[in-house]
Amino acid sequence: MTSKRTKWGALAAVGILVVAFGWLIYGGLDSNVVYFLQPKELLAKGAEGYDKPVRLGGQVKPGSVVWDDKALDLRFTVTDGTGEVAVHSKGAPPQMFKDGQGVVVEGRYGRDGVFKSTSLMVKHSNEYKAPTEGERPAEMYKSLMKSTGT
Amino acid sequence: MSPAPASSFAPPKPTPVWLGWLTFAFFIFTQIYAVVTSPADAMMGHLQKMMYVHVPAAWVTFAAFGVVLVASLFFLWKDDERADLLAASAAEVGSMFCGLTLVLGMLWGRPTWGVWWSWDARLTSTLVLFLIFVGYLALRSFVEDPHRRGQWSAAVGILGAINVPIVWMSVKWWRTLHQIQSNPRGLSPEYLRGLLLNVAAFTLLTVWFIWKRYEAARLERAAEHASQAAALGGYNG
Amino acid sequence: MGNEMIANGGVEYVAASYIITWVVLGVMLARVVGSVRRARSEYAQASKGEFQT
Repeated sequence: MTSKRTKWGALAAVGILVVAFGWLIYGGLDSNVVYFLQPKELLAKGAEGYDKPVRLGGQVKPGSVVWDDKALDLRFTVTDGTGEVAVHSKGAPPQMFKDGQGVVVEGRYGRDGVFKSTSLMVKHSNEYKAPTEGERPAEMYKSLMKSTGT
Repeated sequence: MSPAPASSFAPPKPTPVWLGWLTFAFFIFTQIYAVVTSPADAMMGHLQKMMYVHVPAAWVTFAAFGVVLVASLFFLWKDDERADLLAASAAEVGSMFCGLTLVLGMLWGRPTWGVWWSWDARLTSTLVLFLIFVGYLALRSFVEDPHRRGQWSAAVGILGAINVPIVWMSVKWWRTLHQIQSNPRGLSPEYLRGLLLNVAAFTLLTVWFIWKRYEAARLERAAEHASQAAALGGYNG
Repeated sequence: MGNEMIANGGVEYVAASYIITWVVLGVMLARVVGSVRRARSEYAQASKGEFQT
């Protein structure tokens, strides 16, 4: 007794499964295996690396952050210890953005050697620590933004 | 068709009432305890408190889909319908927690990472896991013959559960935006205590939910069987 | 969308995630209890019919 509802429903269910698996294999495992490039890998591409949509990941080089809070303009350097890429981004960064923080930026690497970021993401470490005496987490972000303001 | 053993169609023993009360009382306690006792994180501030819902939800998702795997294999091996009903119950509870994990992860990602979503391997594989089990539940509701339904869904359930270790290892195998698993040494003790208590509470919730859904499924089958027996002339099998 | 500043250190995100968790679990609780109750009366009905015939 295969009613129409049963047949189409089962087909739909199988369809969902096929799409899910296809996605896992081609979408998930292919393009996202290399979710982001490290600076040395982007630089190694040479001219190939310019003007293509790409994700770049690494640490914010300590002391490199320049933040203009009027123009909401942010410049910093992403480093992997070997290579370094200058990044230019618009808008306020996520709350946890700071010197030495892991970040992933989406955008294009320009021929002028500056990575134009359209999206700035903070990559959090897997550690959680209660603040030590005298640290006030809520204040840290504000003081960072003040200290780096120009 | 050979007659199934009578025990498959007997009404189940009810889920203990005390377990339900204990589960929810313990859950309320652990949630309040964790939020009240944890200081703001040095980096993340109060956003660290999302850990007590997102991480336990993810854990019990894996556990529930593990139950689906074991029950599905047992069903294919022994052809006992009760194992199929248990797998279905666990799949439903697991899907709910998987969806919850995704939503909570988005709510955590926005203020910490800066984005609601990104197509990294962890997030993508978790979404795939969720979709497979949504497909599993859809498949069940569309196949009417219990035996065929059991076999098809066991196959899908096993395939789906294979994704659990992929999701778990994704942060180690590939570069992801999602951080790797925290280990106890990376957590301040005041966070670890709240996290472990909530994992225990969510586990109890999962056990209780699955048990109740299983009880309902067994009762439904018992009722179907009883009315069939009545229609066949009151033979009490 | 740009990364505008998150007000109050993001406590509203924390509140939202707890509320969503409790609502989802509450709905699941109601669903589960309801399904057992329904199935139990269904079974009582069916087995009563069985004895009457």
